[in-house]
Amino acid sequence: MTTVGSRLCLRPLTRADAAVFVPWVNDPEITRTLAIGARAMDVRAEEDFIEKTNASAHAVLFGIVVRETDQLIGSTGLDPIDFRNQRAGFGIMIGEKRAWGKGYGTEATALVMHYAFRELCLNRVQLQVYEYNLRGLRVYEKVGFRREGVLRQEHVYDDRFWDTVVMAILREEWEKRPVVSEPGRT
Amino acid sequence: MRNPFRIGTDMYLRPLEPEDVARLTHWTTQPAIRTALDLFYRPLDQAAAGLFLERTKSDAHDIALGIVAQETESLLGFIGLNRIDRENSHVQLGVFLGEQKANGERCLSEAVGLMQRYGFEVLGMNRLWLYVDAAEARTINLLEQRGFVREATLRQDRCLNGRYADTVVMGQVRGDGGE
Repeated sequence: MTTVGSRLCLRPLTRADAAVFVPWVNDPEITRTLAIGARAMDVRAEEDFIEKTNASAHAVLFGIVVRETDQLIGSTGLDPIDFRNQRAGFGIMIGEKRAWGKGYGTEATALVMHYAFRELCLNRVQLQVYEYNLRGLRVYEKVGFRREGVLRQEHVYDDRFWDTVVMAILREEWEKRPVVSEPGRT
Repeated sequence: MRNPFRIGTDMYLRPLEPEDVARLTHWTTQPAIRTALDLFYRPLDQAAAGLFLERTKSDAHDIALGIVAQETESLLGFIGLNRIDRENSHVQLGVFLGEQKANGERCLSEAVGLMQRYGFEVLGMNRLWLYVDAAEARTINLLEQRGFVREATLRQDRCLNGRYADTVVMGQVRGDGGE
């Protein structure tokens, strides 16, 4: 299944994609905003992660691809998905640094929200973002996420504690957002 | 007192034993308890309850203890520290009271205090946190008296009795006071 936006498409990841991700998930400039932290990852570990997530009934993992160039620039998804409570956690990584600052994070996040609310019929999508991830905070607010609180000293990075912001978007908020274009499916 | 792990004034905490399985399965048949605990929305027989308790005991990231009234030696509920995160120095507190006895809340408050000390002083954590149903005003008040702070309200976080219910995240960091 592929979800198509104006400039990006989301497609399933396979083991063959793992090698592209390994330099990204070992780069501190990239992992400083991710919950995976600063653990060394090799290709095998990345392959296992992709395979395990793809096999899970409670997670969805997408590769983010620029339509024009067909380049894989990162990953995004929902994990965990709690169908009983109709909610999910959201995560995203734009690993390709040349793709930063172009609005791809905003578009990919919006595509996943469309998938969460329209295809999985969820009611709530939640995320946690470290207080120093200002770019992330801006992207999520732009998509419609609201700040629900601050978890004090929740995260250790660079030898000190940092707060973590909890954000969420509800289906009713998503439905009321100004719609520019609806993604398609192939 | 049998196998006390931490001792308070009216209660003590002890490791969970196989005979506690029967109490757990009984409590999970009570609608008020079942709805309060997301874990137990499915039917739980004794074998499944036994496995659940075994898992909580064998997981290095979890500590689960029984809350026992000193006077009657009766098990009132459970308390534990879950998802111990050494990298970020925080741990989740989990608690529930199965028996609503006269001194139940006092015992619960004492149990929370004992686990706060254990979390901060023995495990050396910097932060303790927990989820509470937003409608549980008495529990929230009890935790605030113990030094926890409301940090976030997760809107429409759970499906409860056919409706969405909010969840409050409460946290306490070293130096807040009350720990």
